[in-house]
Amino acid sequence: MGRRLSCWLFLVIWLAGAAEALAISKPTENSEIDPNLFRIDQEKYLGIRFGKELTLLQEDGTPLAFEKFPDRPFILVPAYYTCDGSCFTVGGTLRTMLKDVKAVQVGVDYNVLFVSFDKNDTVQTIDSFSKYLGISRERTPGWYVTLFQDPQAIQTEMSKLGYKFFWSPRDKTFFHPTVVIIMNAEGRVARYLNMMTASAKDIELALLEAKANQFKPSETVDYLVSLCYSYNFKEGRYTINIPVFVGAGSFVLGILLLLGSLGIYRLIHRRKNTKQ
Amino acid sequence: MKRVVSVMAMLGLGLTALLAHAAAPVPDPAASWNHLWRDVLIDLFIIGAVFLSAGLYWVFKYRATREGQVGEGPQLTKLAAIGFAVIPAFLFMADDFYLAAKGWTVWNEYRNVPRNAVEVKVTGSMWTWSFEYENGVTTIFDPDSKTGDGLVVPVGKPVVLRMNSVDVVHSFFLPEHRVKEDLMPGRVTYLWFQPKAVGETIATCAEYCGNRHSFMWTKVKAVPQAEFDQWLANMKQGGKGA
Amino acid sequence: MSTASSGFKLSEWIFTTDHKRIGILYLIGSIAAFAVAGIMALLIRIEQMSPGATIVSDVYTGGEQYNVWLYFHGAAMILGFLIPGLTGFAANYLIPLMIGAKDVAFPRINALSVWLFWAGIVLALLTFVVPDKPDVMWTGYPPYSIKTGGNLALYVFTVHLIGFSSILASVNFLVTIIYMRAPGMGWMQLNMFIWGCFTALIIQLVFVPVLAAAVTLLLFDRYLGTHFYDPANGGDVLLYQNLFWFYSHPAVYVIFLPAMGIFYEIYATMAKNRIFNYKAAVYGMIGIVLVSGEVWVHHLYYSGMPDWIRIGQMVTTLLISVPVGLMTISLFGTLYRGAITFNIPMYYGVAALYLLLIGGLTGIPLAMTVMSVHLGETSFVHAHFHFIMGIFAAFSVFAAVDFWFPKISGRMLHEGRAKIGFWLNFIGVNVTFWPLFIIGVDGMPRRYWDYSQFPAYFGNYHKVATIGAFIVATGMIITISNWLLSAVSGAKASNNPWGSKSLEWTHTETPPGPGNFPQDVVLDGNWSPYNYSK
Repeated sequence: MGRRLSCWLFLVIWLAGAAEALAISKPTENSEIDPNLFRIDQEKYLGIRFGKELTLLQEDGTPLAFEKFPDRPFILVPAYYTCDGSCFTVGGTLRTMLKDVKAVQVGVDYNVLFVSFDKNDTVQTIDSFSKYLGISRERTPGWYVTLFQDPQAIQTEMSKLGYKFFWSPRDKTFFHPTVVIIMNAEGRVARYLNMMTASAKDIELALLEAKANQFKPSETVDYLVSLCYSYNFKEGRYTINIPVFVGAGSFVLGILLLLGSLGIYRLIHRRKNTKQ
Repeated sequence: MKRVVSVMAMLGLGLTALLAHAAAPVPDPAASWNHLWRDVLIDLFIIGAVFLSAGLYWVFKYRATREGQVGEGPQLTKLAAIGFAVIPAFLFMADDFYLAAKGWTVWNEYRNVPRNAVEVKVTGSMWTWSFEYENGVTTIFDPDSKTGDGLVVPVGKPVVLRMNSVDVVHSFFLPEHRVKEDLMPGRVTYLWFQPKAVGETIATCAEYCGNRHSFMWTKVKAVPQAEFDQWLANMKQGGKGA
Repeated sequence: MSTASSGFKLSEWIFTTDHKRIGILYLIGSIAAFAVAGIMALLIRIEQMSPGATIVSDVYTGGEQYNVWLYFHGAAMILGFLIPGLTGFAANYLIPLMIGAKDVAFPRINALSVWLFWAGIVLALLTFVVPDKPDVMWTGYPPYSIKTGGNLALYVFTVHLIGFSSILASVNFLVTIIYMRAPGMGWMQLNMFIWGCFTALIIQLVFVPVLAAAVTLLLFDRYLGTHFYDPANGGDVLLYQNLFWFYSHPAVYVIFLPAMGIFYEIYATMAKNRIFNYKAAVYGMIGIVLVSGEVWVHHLYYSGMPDWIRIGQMVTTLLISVPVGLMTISLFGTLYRGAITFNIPMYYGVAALYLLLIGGLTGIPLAMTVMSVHLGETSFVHAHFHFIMGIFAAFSVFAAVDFWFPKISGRMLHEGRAKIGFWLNFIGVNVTFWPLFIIGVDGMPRRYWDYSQFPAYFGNYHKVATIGAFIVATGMIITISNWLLSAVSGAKASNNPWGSKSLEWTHTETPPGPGNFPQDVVLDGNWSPYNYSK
């Protein structure tokens, strides 16, 4: 409800003609790393296939060939497992957030795939990371925490997705964007979501959109709801699709016009008759 | 006994047919399109001929012959009226569903991209097409000077185009391969086709995009696989194309 | 073409609230739009006569000129001629007369509608005056319409004016039909034309606001910096196309239904016959209203919509053939065992039979998703909708003027000249559009002025089509000038020259005076506008 209100507020501001002034984001001058460095020019990467001939390693050392990965959409979460900050936050947020995603079921309609972009990650670090997040094969079906079998592939595969990261020796951390990537069943990029701003609703909408061509009749209502939102490239999340409401509103207006004009005529007519 | 044999034979025939189907070569949407087009034309021709000949026959047969003559069109009974509505309605519906089913079959061929397809990324912009191959090679074609390679594809291998526009809505139309799909900013659309013979054809923009809409076309060249590989490798090294 | 006998006074026409005069004002406006849009069509055809620049300046700026012709031709023909010609002129003039009413329900609102329409025509004509001529086609798809240097506001305001005019007109006529029928006139005794208008006007009233809203958002995006259709900022590119066709496909039926209604009237009167299976045709019309809102995606078969919706709407689109088929059977069946008189309205009537079949049947492959993936946006589509929406509907307007000419003007039409005009029109449209069907299947795209990249034989077909266009132009000039000449010098018409049973012929004078009917019309349950054999 709050979002809808704010959207309408946005509309009002837009109408005032101030939209352009607002839309230009000012880089923060005090920080050492310009966050714009990590900006993903998303439109360039839509539809890119990830890991066509790639093999990943799971927590028990078993390989996971992409060819064999279940034929359903998945959330790709790039992370590194010795991280003590944002990766855990992203993972933890995702864990709690996905409980609120009701329209689609993890492990049934989609999977979650963590991949490490740190060549120093091992099956041991996977283990501690999974434990921290409470992920295990038995308890959380559909969740995969993996690393590249071939560390040489990391850089090329990640840059194919437009995902930039680098190691800062001074801070002893990786600097990297906090996005998750919604992939469709073919393993192609459908959407990027910024986990700092995205909500459970955004994830749900992105997953529904990613499987739009295979949706089931039981998901009709969810699908219809999803039409009320559209993806915002600038903000990396979904915003209300105002023209849908304007269109629907004017359609209702048309019907009301029809009924209203009949009512008015009857009213006038009755008054005339009583006068005579 | 005879019957058993014939049943066996039929089963065998069915099986071979099934196997033949399973081992069928890669689907060819353009050929299926042409085939369906012929079927549709026959269908339309029959309906059109029936209606037009009935109409014209009545127009000539029921001309008024004397002054003050009035028509004697039948006053339909309730049952006849319902019959004349329901029976044609079902006939039309039957034809509709027949066409819908046929159309859907071919449509599935159009949308299921074979796994071994060569993938090319197409970017449309006012008023040029650019093609990016999986190894990073990018080509364009200039319609004014007629230079540039445009889209080069190997014969005998399906080609899938992943398409996106940087400005307005365009549509990649390959008349030869009976297919088109729009491109727009913010979405990726796809189409695939099956180049069958060596040769050149064109792809052209089919969604109105402004001043030079008519000139937004490109050469599409189908070459043998070996030549294609050679060309791609040359391009990768910055060499000149075919 | 005066409906009152007391000479011509301009102020009487400007301030008139008489539905008959308003109808004539609509006719004049829509014929003016038709003429200018027709000249655009000739320019388009001359340009396409050969590949390369024929009359445009050169290959770099030629598109700027050509696209304005296309824009004006499409927008003016649909918004300025077909819709106002049928739901403006014909509906205005005929609805009160056919239902036995003295006037429409809200006469002053009616006057407002016609002047809004005229304002829309004037605004559309400004296209040729402003320096940044609109070039957005009648569809105005974003992002192009937002990015172009062409004047988008002119397009949007034209749609607003004509849209507002048609909303007011729809309200007016619907109330009129529902509440002002003559005492004793039941729903199943209505003229087919009334049913055609009634169903068309419901569609118009319900769907026009959606178009108005969609183009308004376009205006905001262009001039106020909003991002409704801009994907970079959360907008949706495809949504406009959906909203636009959500109105504009039903708009096709706003044209088709009254056009069918006119031909039913002509068939019944000229064959002196009852409508074959009247009720089935009426339910067919109602059926079209019900399905009209669920078929728009067939305009977006290759636009990147989800696959399942393309298939779903293929089925609904094909099913339109059911109500249209029932209407067609009724129309053809009206000839069966009739007593047909051939005169100029019936010439158009028989031509309509052919046009309906060609235009309707070529729509079937276009309704099929997979066929449309090749045929869409080619001149095959162009020829298809010109046959059904363009020529069939335009012929219905011409047939309507010819058929009701004695009633409107009080004089008979000169048949000889009208027949020359008819034959030129009929032959011309076939010569124009058949070649376009053929090269459309071979891949000739729409909205191209240069087609040098295609095989050279395309040029021959285009040349034939251009010749056809000039034949039509000659026919139209003869037809329209014949109206003007006959209105002044034709033989005086009797009250009911065709021997019709419909109220506008049996109960009024020619031309009808103020208040339409000398005596109040009272009918009984046996009355029918098609009771000839009793």
